[in-house]
Amino acid sequence: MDSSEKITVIEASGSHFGFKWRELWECRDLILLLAKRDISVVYKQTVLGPLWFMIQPVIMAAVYSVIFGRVAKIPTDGVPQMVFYLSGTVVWNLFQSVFNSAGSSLFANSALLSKVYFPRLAVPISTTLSNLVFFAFNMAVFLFFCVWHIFRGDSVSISWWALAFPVLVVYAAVSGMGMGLWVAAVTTKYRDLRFSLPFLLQIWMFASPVVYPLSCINSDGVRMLYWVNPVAVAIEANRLMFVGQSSLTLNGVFIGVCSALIVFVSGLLLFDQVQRNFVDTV
Amino acid sequence: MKFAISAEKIRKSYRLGTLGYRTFGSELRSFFSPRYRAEDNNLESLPRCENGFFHALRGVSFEVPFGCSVGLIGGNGAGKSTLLKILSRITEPTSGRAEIRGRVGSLLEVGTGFHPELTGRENIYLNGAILGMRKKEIVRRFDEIVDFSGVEKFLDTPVKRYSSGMYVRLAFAVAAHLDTEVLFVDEVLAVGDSEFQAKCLGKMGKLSSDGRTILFVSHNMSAVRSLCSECIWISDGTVRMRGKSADIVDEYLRHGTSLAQLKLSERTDWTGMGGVVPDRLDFVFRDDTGGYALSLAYHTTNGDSWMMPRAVIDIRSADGVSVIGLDSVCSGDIPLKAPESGCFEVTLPKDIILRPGKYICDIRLIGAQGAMYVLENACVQEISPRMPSSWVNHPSSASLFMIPQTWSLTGVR
Repeated sequence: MDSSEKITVIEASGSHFGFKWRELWECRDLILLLAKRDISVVYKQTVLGPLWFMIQPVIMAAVYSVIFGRVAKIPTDGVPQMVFYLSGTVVWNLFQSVFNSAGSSLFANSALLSKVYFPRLAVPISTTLSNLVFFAFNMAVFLFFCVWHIFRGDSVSISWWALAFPVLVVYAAVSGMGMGLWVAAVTTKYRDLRFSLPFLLQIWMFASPVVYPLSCINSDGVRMLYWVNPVAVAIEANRLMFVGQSSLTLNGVFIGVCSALIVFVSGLLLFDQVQRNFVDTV
Repeated sequence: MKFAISAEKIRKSYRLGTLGYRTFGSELRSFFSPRYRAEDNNLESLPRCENGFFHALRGVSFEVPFGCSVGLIGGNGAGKSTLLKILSRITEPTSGRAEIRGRVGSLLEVGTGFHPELTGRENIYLNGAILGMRKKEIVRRFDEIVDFSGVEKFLDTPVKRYSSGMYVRLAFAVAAHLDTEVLFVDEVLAVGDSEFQAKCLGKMGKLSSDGRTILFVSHNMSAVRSLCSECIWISDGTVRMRGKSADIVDEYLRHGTSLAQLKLSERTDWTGMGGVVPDRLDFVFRDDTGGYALSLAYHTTNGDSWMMPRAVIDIRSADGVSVIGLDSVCSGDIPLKAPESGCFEVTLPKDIILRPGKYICDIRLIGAQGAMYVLENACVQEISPRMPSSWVNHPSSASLFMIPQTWSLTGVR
C-alpha cells in the first residue's frame, strides 16, 4: 500500500461539528451529474421542453397584472406592469424553488441515501445548481421585457449595478438553500413541516415585495423588518439593477446579508448533525 | 500489523417505540433526559432489549487483513446489515470505532440511483458517480462496462423501456467496475437469473483474487464457502464465531439443525411484529396419500382472528440449498379471515420424491400489516429413502428430488 493511502475512520461523532469539506470537493462530479439529471428529467416527454420555464413567469406576471394591477390597483412606481411583476417573480421563483428542493432533498432521496454513502450535502447543492439553470430561463424572459420596454421609451432603465448581478444570484440561492437545509433537517424527524410548508411559502411571498413596491410601506420600522427577509432585499436589488426603481438602502443590504448568513450557517450545521443518523429516523 | 478493516466495540442502539408520533411534551422530556450510556468494557453481556432500547449491535470487534474476503453470516435480525450500513457510513455507530484503509465501495443494492427516465448511457455515469467513481474513471472504463452489460444497442434508450433483465445487467456492470480496494457486498446476488448470479460470483471471485478486501453478507452458504476464505458469524448483535469459512459454515448449519429440534413454543429467536404464534409444524410422509404433507398449527396471541392470513414455508437441504418454496397465496382456498387458532395444511404431489437426508423448514406468517412471525430453522425432518421399486437404480443421486418421467425411443428412418 502506498503512503497516500486513504483511511476512513468511523465513529460516533457526538455533537461536535466536523465538516468534511474535502470529501464534498471530491464528489464534485457527482454533484454535477445529479444536477444534470434533475435538469434533463424535467424535459423528458415534453414538447416545449425548457420553454416552459419561460412561459410560466410570463403567465404569472400577466395574472398579477390583472389582479393586483387592474383590479386591486396597487401602484408599480410608474414601472410597466409586466416588467415590475416579472422583476419580483423571477427572484421569488429562484428563492422558492431552491428552498423547496433543498428542503425535500433528504426526504425525497431517502431510498438512495439509505443504500449508499456520499456526502449528503451533495444533494441540496445539486438541486440548487439545477434551479439556477431554470432561473436562467426565467431571467432571459425578464430581460427581454426590460429591453423591449426600454426600446419603447417606457420608464425602465438598466443601471451599472447590473454588473453585480452574479452576487445577487448567489445571495438569493444561498439564503434559499439555508432555509431549505433547516427544513430538510427538521422534516426527517417531524413531518409536520411538510404540510405547513406550502402555505408558509404563500404567506412569505406576500410578505415579500413581489406584487407591490416597497415604496408603499411608509413606516421606517416596518421597512427595517423587511430587510431581515432576504427575498425582499434580493427583489429590491433586482429592481435597482434592471428596472431603475428601488427602495434598497445600504443598511438594508447589510441587514439582509447578515440574516442570510446566519440562516445559512446555522442550517448547514444542523443539516450536518442530522444527516449522520437520519436513515434511522426517516 | 495493519488491517484493511478493523472494528472495535461497535454498538448501535435504537430507541424502541414509534418515533416521530409522540406528543410535544414527551418529546421535550426525552430531550432533557440523559442519553443512554453503556459501559464499554461489558457490551456483550447487555441484554438485546432493555429499558426501551434495542441494541442491534452489542460490541462487535473484528479485523480483516488486506486482500482477504470475509463472509458475514447469521440469522435474520442478527445485525449483519446494520453492521454493513455502519461500515459503509450510511449511519453512524452509537459508540465504538472502525478504521478502513483504502478506498471504500459498497454494493448494498443493484442499480442504486438508477433513474427510469434517463438513458442507459446517462445512468452509467450517474450510477458510477453515486457509487463513488470519478467521472474520468467512468469515461475510461465506459466501453468495458457496456461490453460487460451487453446492452450496447439500447444505450440511448431510457432504462424504463428496458426489460428487467437488461436493467439488472446494466446496473451490475457498473457496480462490477467499481475499482475500490475495500468492497462491501450485501446479498446483491439474490437478484437475477442463475446465469447472472454465476456471473456475479465469478466477478467477485476475480476481485478477491486481485487482492481486494471484500466483506460479503449472504444467506447463500455455498457462495460464502466458495468465495470467502474466512467467515464471521454474527448472532444477536455480537460476533459469535470466526474462522475458516468451511468450519464456520458447517458450525452455523449444525446450529440451525440443533435449534430446529426445539419445540416451537420454546423458540425465542423469531422476528416480526408478533400477534400470531405457531404451535407445531409437522413435515411427514403420509402413507394414505403416498406423498409428503406439511401442517402448521397456530394461535393468535390476543384471541382475535387473523386478517389476510398467509403462511410461507421454505424447505432447505441441510447444506442450505433451497429445495421447495411453499406459499399459501398460491392456493385459492385460504379465507380472508382466519380463526384465532387453526392449522394450515399443504400436501405435495405424491410423485415428488425427496433425496434421503435432512431437510430444514423456515416459516413466515404474514398478516394484513406485514410479517408477523419469521423463524428460520423452524423444524428439521429426516427423510428416509422411499423409492418405488422401479426407481431403485435411479442414477442421479445428486439431484434434489426425483419425479416420474416418461421416456420413449423412436427410430428415425
